[in-house]
Amino acid sequence: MAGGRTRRARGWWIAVPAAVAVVLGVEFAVLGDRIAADVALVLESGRETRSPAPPDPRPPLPQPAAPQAAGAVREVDLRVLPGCATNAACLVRLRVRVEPGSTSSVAWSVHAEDLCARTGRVVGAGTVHVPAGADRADVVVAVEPPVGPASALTLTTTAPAAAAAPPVRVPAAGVCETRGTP
Amino acid sequence: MSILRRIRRRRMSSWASVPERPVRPRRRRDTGPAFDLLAVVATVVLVVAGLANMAVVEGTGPALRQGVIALVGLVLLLVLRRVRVRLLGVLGVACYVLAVITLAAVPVVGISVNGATRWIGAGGFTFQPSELAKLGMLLVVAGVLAAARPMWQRFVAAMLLAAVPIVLTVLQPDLSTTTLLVVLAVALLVIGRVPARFLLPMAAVATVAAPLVVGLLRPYQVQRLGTFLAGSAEASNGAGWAVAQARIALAGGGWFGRAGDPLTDVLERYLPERDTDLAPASLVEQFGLAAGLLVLAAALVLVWRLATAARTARTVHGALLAGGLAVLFGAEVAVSVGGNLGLLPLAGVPFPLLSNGGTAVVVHLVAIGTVLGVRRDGARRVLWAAPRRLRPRFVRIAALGVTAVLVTFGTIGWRTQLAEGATLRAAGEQQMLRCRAVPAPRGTITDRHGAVLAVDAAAAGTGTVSVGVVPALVTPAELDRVAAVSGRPVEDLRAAVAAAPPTTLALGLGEVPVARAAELDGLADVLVEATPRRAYPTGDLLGPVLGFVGVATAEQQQRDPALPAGAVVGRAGLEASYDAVLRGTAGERCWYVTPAGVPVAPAPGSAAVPGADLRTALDLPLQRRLTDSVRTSLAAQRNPNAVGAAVAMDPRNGQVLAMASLPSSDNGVYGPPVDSAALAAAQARPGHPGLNHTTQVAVPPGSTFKLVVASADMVQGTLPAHQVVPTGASFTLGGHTFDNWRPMGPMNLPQALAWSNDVYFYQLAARMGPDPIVNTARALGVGSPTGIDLPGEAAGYLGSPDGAEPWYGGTTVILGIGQGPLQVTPLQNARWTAAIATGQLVTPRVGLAVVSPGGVETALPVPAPTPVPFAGVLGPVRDGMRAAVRAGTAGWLSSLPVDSGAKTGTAQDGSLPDGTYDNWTTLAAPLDAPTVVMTTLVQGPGQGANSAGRIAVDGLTQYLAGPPGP
Repeated sequence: MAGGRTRRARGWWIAVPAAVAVVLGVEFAVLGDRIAADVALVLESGRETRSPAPPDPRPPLPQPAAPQAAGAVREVDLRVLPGCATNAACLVRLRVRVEPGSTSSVAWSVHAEDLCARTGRVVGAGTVHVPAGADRADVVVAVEPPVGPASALTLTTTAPAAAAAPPVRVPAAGVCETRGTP
Repeated sequence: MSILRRIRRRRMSSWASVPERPVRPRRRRDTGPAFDLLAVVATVVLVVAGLANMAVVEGTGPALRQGVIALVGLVLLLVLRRVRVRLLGVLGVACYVLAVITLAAVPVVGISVNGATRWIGAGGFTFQPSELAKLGMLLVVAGVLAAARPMWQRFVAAMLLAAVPIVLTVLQPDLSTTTLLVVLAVALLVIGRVPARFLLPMAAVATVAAPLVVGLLRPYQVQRLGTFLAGSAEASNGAGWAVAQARIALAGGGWFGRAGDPLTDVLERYLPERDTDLAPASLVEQFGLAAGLLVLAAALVLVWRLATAARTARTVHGALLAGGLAVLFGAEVAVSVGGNLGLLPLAGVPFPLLSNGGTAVVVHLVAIGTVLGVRRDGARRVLWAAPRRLRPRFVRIAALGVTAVLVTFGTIGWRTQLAEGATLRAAGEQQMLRCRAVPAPRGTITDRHGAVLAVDAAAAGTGTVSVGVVPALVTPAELDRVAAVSGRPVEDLRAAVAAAPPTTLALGLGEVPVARAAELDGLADVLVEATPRRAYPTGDLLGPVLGFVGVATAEQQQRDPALPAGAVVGRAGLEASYDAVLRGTAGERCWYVTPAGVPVAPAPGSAAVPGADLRTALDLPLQRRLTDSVRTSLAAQRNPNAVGAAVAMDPRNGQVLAMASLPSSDNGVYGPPVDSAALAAAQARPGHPGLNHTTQVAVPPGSTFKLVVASADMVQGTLPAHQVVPTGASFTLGGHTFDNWRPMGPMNLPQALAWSNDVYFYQLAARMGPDPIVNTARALGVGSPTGIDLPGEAAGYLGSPDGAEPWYGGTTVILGIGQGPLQVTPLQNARWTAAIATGQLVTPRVGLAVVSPGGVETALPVPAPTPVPFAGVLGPVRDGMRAAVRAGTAGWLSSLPVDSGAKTGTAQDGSLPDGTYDNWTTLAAPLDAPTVVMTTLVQGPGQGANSAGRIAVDGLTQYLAGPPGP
């Protein structure tokens, strides 16, 4: 008799969860869409409804290889002059600020990266003289960015310290071409 | 009732139904196991930590008030520690009834705080019934489950008793307390050894019903549930603010906190609910991670002491009370810490004993005191300990779970400090800053000798500075000084400051002359900023060349996203072309502000970096002479719309020495701010004074184009240079007759150039055909921009037989004398003149060098000249230019002491009134090795020698008198 009761108890332990599972299965089969909608409604109702900003279609800029200030170099900055394009000579203004009296010259280079092909090369390099007592030098140089729809120029100093200006897009709104499906 | 059921029922309740024994054993002293020192110490640690946090973030007043309440709670704890266990039932009923009554009264007489109605006022205090409901429900349900009743009766009674406060808190709605009450009720059922045959069906029903319940909720209930689940991290009004601030606080505290740091005084204001829900984060911010870990340890000690009290209890009621409180306390701590770390929804669950809240503190202390009483009772009557099989189950497992969760949370908090501490601290400081851009001085534009052409008005000492103050910080003494300097009554200034919103960073109080700005130096809360107005000392002399500045356009903003809003940039002329050089980098003046945006103290800023200067190739004396001459010529014209232009250029390198364009205007009217009336008046003047007539206006070149046609002939060899060709008064082609400007005899090429013999060039063009002319013109830059470093250059126009428009034989003929499908700018004309004179096609440049503040000067890059491929055959063309000066249409140049060559032109222009022409002269000198080319244009009546020639004479005279030099 005890054995029978044990078997019956085991049967209940199996039957009840199975029944619950069946009921849940039926519930979700019949009302699954509604339940999912209700749950989604609850989850969304407490969240911020502000629509996210549209993603920037432009390719991401490369990370500068060095900080904007380092050692005797207090700041490096790069700007492009109007008319700068990816497939033509491009005038850029370089500005290097240094600790007065710390150096008499600053070696610089401009690196251009094709943001679509992710290839890069040095498109300009030189040395700017800083007279004694002066704390900065401004130079306009011509560089030629790579041929491509989007590229970035980065100014880097190599001496007396490695510093890099934030990259600048050329052109500002350049995006990579996306191939359409046939 | 069957025997089996009777036995089972007795088994279920046999221990609980054991009557109290009449003879008490000897009681132990109230020390050792009977006195739970650890629990008391942990409790005091939590209370003191909470009070310390309150004292720092809310001040000593609120902390003192909370301290008094906590003291009352501690006294009650000590009193209840001695309460007899059999009185728990009475205490439970009292708490439960009071809680239910007051919960029911909340919707009627409740006090609303932050949109929630959960409190009842009582004198100067408020009372939160839902907190009392935790204790009442715990005591009553524990008592019912321990009663000597059949299990189904106990189960039903427990469910009903639990449902009442749960429903009442749902109706408030207080979903966080509701959740805790549900957790507590379920925990009591589980640890109270309610059989699975009762619990599992209930769980099954809950499982089946849960998905459907959402659909039954009303919209506002869905909203509240969603907000609860999302927590402050993503709530529509929170946007992650609370959790972000909690993380900043956790990261900013370091090991020992930043209490007392002036910055912390500001930063702590950004942490919402810093004495309640986010008290743990605030505690870490103020007293460091060490304090946070100490509090976690104290909470764990308390959980474990409550859990072990459940094992030493003498009665089931007491054991369930201790076990239930352990689970409740552990759940509250885990949810609170998880919410502070952003790992769980910040659901409004305060940290027990640590967070502010009088009712919560007292209720928790009372509950702990009661459990200590249960423990004391059990410890003093060890022989009567409950049988093992009737002790609450899973309590130690629950305590272990809480321990694991809190250790994990503590580790995560430590790792947050370690990995993200610097970033979060920087974000914390950044959010306190509000900065105002400090405009950078703009560079100066000079001529090649350093004469100032464009300069900031302030730098010139002629402008004004704007004076502003920070209303929330400015002192009466500072206002008095501003009043004295600005001349405004101090009462007015005070009224303006009082009326300004306290969040204002800079309240403008007017402008004062630059000369008086120094009197305001050193005033911390007074802002003195030079106005960005630009001054052009030469007036309208170089208006279209220099351009003007103004607020950046949308296009400029797109081109340079780094431009701050409202940035003043070059908008036209050299100001635009070299804006990247001239414009400095704005600095910042910053203040620490409260979360509401009210400045409280100055913060470190950054100095503006001035722009560099631009040295141009312009020669101011030559510019003046040419402009004056053009002005004189135009003044003699009857046509008010007539324009005049003159350009002087070094043909060796393209340096533009002078560029006269009239009518013109003084671009000082553009400010900024723009003088609207003056600008409207300037724009209403005839002749488009805003246009640069040397680069932006293209007209037919007339006979000056014969230099190009002659060059084409030299390339093509159609008519040898010295072949004399009969000419006459006219030329007929296809029945159409083309007149000479005067009848002439036979001439060769130089002679035809010297006298500008139209018939010669009619014949030459007709024989040569259009293509050689067009190709040569293109090679000399006709029909395309010169590439000068000025914006908006016109490309001009050069038609061709390949173009869309019809091309007839007559088109070629008139192209031979610079008419027809052809329009050029004076600069293009000067460029081909230079190319023919030197054999090199240069790119004109106005900019010469960049001069950094401090004197470092670097030359601007110069595009290399392009060799003219047919330069070697152009000698006869230059001979013709020389002949034009010596004995031809440009004879008035022959009086000058230089061997020059020139070509004149008088072009018909459909846009001009009858009898008026585009009168041209273009010259190069000295012709053998030219150092200057000049091209002049004046619209008006003229034949042959015209007023453009007189301008050229004036210009060349000036050039010879004072050569520009290198």
